[in-house]
Amino acid sequence: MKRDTMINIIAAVLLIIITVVFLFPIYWTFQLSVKPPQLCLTNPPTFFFQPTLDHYVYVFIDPGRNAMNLVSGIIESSVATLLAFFLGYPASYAFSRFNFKGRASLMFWYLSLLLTPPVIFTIPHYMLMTTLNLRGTYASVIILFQTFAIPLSIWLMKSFIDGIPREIDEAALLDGSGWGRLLFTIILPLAAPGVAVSMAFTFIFCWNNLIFPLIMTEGPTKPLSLATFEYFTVTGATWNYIGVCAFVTTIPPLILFLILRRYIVRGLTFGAVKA
Amino acid sequence: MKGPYKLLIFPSFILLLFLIAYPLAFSLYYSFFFWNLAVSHEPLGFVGLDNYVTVLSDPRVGKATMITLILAVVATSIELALGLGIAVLLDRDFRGVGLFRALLVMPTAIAPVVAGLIFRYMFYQGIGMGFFPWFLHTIGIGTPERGILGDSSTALFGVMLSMIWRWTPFFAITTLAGLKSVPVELLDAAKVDGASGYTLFRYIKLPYARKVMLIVFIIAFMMHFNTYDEVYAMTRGGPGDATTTLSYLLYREGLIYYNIGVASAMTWLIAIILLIAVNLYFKVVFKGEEI
Repeated sequence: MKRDTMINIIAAVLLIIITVVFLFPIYWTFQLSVKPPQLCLTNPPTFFFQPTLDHYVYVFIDPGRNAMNLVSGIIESSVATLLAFFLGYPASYAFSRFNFKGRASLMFWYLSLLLTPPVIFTIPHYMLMTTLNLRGTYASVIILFQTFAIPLSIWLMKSFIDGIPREIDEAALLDGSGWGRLLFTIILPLAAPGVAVSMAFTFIFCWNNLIFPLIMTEGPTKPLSLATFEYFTVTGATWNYIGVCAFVTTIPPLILFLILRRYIVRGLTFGAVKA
Repeated sequence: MKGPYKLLIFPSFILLLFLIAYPLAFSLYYSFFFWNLAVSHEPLGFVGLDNYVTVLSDPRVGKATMITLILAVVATSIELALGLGIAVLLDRDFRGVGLFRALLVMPTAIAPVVAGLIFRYMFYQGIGMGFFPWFLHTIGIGTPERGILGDSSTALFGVMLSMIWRWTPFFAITTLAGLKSVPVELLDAAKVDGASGYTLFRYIKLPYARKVMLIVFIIAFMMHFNTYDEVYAMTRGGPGDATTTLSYLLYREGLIYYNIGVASAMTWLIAIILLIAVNLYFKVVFKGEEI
């Protein structure tokens, strides 16, 4: 037993060091966002200083160049997530419950879209959206997000619906319930926690996406992460504002990850590994 | 069960089919034409397989393929090894280990493009100095005059480091799930038989974790193969072509140089590589299994 305790102490010490190393870049971004400008890139680095909220005020309030970008990012990712739910939920139910010809191939097809480099879709959609005059609108990004949002939400939701006993469906159908009622008033409440987890991951994937907003959005419709690049200019980079945008962009996924702790493995492996 | 499965699947299917098939058809068609958007709004003529010949004989494509493969192989292998090491530590049972599990996974939540920006700041070297060059100088390691991201011999290493930072926790947490998937009865039986420490890990836990590690390795490998965001944030493919991955090369060819014909041919070559990789993934993950 004594040997075990010693190994645990060594493990704990190593884990403290590893955690500090891995969290340091996040802390370093935060401190950049509250650092006086002249201290951003000193040699040696300045670890202790009087923090300031001026950069947050500049970015979001006065003049608030990027307040709209934050709102846009939230709108784009939320609406895309909702759309993926409405389109994906019935399909995930069908994949979970019905055995039909081509079911496995179809599911693989959905999954393959998650592994495809999104860049191969960009040029044709860029041209199409330009022709339709949709570039610079929320709709264009929301639609393109579906290339991964639908497959992701279907695979995740299916992995949760699989856990609901089929007897419930059968009993409801015997009682004369229609499919619509079965899906939305009987199964959905039971699947709600799983659906919420799936939607949270879909939101994170949308929120963290760069390439579709990059080709589709302009000015105020850019999400915050993309708008950050406006602070790199020919005369140099305004690191403080970059720090503010970068740190604020990381907050929603960080909070969701804390809440979703138990489901992170399942979410990030598209339901393939259930912890 | 029987039911209206077609109706339930159809809406998502039709939207995705459009979103995927349209670009692929577009690319296939225009890969046989000469078309540069900067020159003309219309394709300028049928050129047969010329675009494919151009792509296959272009040394930049070969170089980008090499860079992409190096990035994917080296970074993913390092992440797998580090992740396994950290997972073994996290697998121990002591008070507070849950806190480490919750905290360590954080880098995984961060957007690749933001990770790129953070590391670009930390690698900065010019008027003033970022954290990494300062740290390296302090422990006696020199950095290139133009900075780590500004020198073609070290830039790829910089991009890789930001990916390793973001992906290692992902490997750690998934591998941990694999190690934890051993049924309790089996663990107890092994302990009764006298297995402990290394033996338990090597012959019981690791074999259980192997499948998870393989799934995760392939997912990560393909995501690394698609690397775009970090390159966009940190180096824009430079200096020279030192960090130009296949994804970035395709983006640049199509949406910066506007070579639609050549980019279309490139799209199809990448799609074919991908098809092979995806099939491999399915063979490994779903070998003889119900889904």
